[in-house]
Amino acid sequence: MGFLNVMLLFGTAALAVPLGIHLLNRSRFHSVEWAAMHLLDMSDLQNARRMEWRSLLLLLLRCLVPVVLAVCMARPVFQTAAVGGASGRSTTLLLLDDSYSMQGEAVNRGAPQSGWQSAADIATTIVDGVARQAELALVGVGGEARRESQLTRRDARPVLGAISRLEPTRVAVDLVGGFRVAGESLVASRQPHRQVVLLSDFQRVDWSESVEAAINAIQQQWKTLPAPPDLHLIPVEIAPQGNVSVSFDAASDEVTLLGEPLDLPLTIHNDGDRPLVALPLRILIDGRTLVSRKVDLPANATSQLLFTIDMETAGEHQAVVEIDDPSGWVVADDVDRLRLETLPARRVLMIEQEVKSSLLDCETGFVQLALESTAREVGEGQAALVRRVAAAEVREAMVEESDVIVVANVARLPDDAVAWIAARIAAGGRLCIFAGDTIDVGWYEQQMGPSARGPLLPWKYGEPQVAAVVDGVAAREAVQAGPYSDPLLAFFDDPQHGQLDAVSLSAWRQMEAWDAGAAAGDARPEDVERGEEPPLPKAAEVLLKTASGTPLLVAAGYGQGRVFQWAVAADEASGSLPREPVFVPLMQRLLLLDLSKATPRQVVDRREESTLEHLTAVERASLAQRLGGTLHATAEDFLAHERNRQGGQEIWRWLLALVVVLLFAEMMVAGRLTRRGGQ
Amino acid sequence: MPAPSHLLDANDHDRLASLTWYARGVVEGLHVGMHRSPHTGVSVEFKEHRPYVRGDEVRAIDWKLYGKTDRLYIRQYEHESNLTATLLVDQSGSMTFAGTRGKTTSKHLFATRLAACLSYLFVSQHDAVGLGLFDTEVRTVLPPRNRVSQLEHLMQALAASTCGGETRLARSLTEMAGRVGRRGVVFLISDGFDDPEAFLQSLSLLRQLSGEVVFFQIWHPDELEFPFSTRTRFRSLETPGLERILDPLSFRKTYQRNLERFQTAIAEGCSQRRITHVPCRCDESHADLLARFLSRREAG
Repeated sequence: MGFLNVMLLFGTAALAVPLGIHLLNRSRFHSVEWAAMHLLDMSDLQNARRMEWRSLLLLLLRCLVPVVLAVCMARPVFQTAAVGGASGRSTTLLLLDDSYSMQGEAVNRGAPQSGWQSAADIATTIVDGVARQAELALVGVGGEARRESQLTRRDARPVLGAISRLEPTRVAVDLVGGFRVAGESLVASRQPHRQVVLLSDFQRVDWSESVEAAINAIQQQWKTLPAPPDLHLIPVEIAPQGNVSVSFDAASDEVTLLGEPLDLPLTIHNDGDRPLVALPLRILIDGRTLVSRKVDLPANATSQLLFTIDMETAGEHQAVVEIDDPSGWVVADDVDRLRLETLPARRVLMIEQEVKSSLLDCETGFVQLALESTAREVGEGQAALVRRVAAAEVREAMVEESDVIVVANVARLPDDAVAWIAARIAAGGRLCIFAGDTIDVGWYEQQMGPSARGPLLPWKYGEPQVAAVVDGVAAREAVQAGPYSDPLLAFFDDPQHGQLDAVSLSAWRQMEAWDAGAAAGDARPEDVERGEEPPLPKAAEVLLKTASGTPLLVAAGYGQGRVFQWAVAADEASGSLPREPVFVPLMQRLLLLDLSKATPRQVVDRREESTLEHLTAVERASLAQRLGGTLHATAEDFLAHERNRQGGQEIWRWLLALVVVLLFAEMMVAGRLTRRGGQ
Repeated sequence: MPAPSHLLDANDHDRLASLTWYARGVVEGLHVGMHRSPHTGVSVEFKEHRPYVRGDEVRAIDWKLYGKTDRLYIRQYEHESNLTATLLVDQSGSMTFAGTRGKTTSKHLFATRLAACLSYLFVSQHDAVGLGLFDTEVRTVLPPRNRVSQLEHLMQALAASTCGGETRLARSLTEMAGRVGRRGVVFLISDGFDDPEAFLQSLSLLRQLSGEVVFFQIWHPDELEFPFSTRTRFRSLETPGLERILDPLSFRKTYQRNLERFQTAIAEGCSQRRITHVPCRCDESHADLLARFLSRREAG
């Protein structure tokens, strides 16, 4: 217990006033001659004692009034077991919700302001209030939680500067990340007391059970800190209002090829109680408006729209959908962004032993058809530009300008061609080698094996194999069903994309890994001397097998490129693969999609704050209890709590109330004592 | 000390002129009066005839009846005697109490005026009136007389009476009981401040010896209302040095309880002993009190 105005404690001397009056009254009395002395007999001792006690009680009350009043004026401070020692030093970490929903209108007694402005005011008040006794840091939790300012000791300027710089993000709050960042930041704290203050509008959607569970897990980690932080929750009251949100539907990992129609599915949700008519909606690609439409949306309804857009250029694009409510109702999630990439047309060089006039007579005819099927019209937005050449006519320029090289049932290539191909693949190209009945296994081993100058071949080819003959009929070998481990083939885990296990094979060439003794990538002395040491082939992996386990497709990285080695031919000679519908997407994925470089569609902003519904006061209190935190209605409440922690709680209000009670009790007791004829 | 003439004023005379005291029973008296006597004798009220026996006065023979019946009969008449009233006035110290709220009639003055009224009443009825003044003991005794001059003696004695000393009612009354000779009526005018048990016993004795006893218990209004609000020291009027300092506000309830208990004990004791108990306040008119008492007594 301490006093802010100790001098006023001298006021307790006023105790002497009622005491003196009492003693004076006891010594002063009126004297009368009295006849009926026998009636003054105190035979009713119980009553007499009761009277005496009441007199003493009255005296006590009258003495207590000035004493308590004096103590009250001295502003006593009731000190609990102060955490952090007498100085009350602490580390205060502000988690500031700068998510999209904070743009809503704040419940404010003064001028209208947004929830964000209100949050900034609260944060500023807190920072100003605790700056002298605390290390401070600010963590923004809108979008991806990030530290906005480093821990500073007794210097509020960095945090105040960060607060003034911050603007509400267009994304949802990242509470879990915020708590995680807070824990990481507190590790650096050296103060004996630590606290995390969360300023948020407490949107209901943000506090799911999983989020709470994750936060609880983080709080468990906090307990391992030398001084586990206290948690304080301060709500930013935002007025309930309707909202319209728009968002691209769930992102797909599909990469769009140039020339493919781009489907952009949207979801618009009206979270308000009034219907919206002719709501302006725009879709912008790279800042250029491609779609502008007005949509109607009933109250509390969700509408899904699909827009198809032609991408004119390849590369990375940003699609933005915007809605605009002239009434200003829309405060959150009125914009959504989608990042997507359109791959350019790939130049494909198909090398055959002999180029034939009929497309389907060529070894790579089916492959060409598969790759060119992405184009809607010839010459417009083709994803693949195919060039077919005979093995003997391969030139270095051809190889260099090709992104994909297909070698189909070629007996042998010119010696220099292997080097050109190896250089191109190492620079990021793709090589697809199909086997067949004409390939020279020895040449392949010698020129493309691990000891070759261009060790492109992942595995070595063996003898041709045919399906077993059962009862005089050649059986067919099926392809292994999914799931497939490689990302390229995992696409076919969904049967809608094609069924690889529907493929049946009649002949193939045996493939097996290189001998361990044939060390891959052994550079030849002359290459080392020229500084042209070829890249080491990466470990090969079997992408596809037959149902019996025979390797069908083997892939290996080579430099920045990749080599696919088939055990079958590219035409119908090996089975039904070229005729199966799955052949088209399979070839496109293997040869055109460079997943290592392409970025799949990705929603830039997470948008989960469309429903501007907030936790009620009771729910917030319950949440605070579950999180083991303390809920404060205002910044002033928090600062009062902080003052209490640092220096104790002022209890003069309670004492003033006690004075009133004492006065009332004095009136009651005095009334009972002085009431005529009463006790 | 009031002058004798001040004990009765003109109003009292007028008020008392219309009042009469009738004895409830037969009373013994030496003089012919207005009250029935247990004795037959000279009177105008014929009672009965009885046969003459030797020794009867010859003059009592009804000669007319002898002429008719030839037998001797004695005429007997109702004897009407005078009443002997004895006034016992308490002049103990407690009777000096005149209150604490200005100049009011003291209990003693009220008692003497009441006694004067009674004296006047009985003398005017040719009844014998005696007086006893007492405190710790009997101080003054005037034997009952029915002469007019008795009234003057009574007035002088009452006017000369002074209060002081403790009250020993029981002892004084017992003493007075022995002095009240004939059966008559005894008026005790006192505050009755004594041990109720002993007091009532002495009253009972008085009742047995003197016939009718009327106890005028004098209360001062302050004794009934206890009108004190500040801390007060109560000094005894009777016992020097006896005092009690009290907070009247907190003691009032106890006082009133003690008062009620005392009044109840006296009233019930008197009722059981067939003693007429007349509580009276000394701030009321003694003549009115007497008139009211007599009218009530006459009524039943």
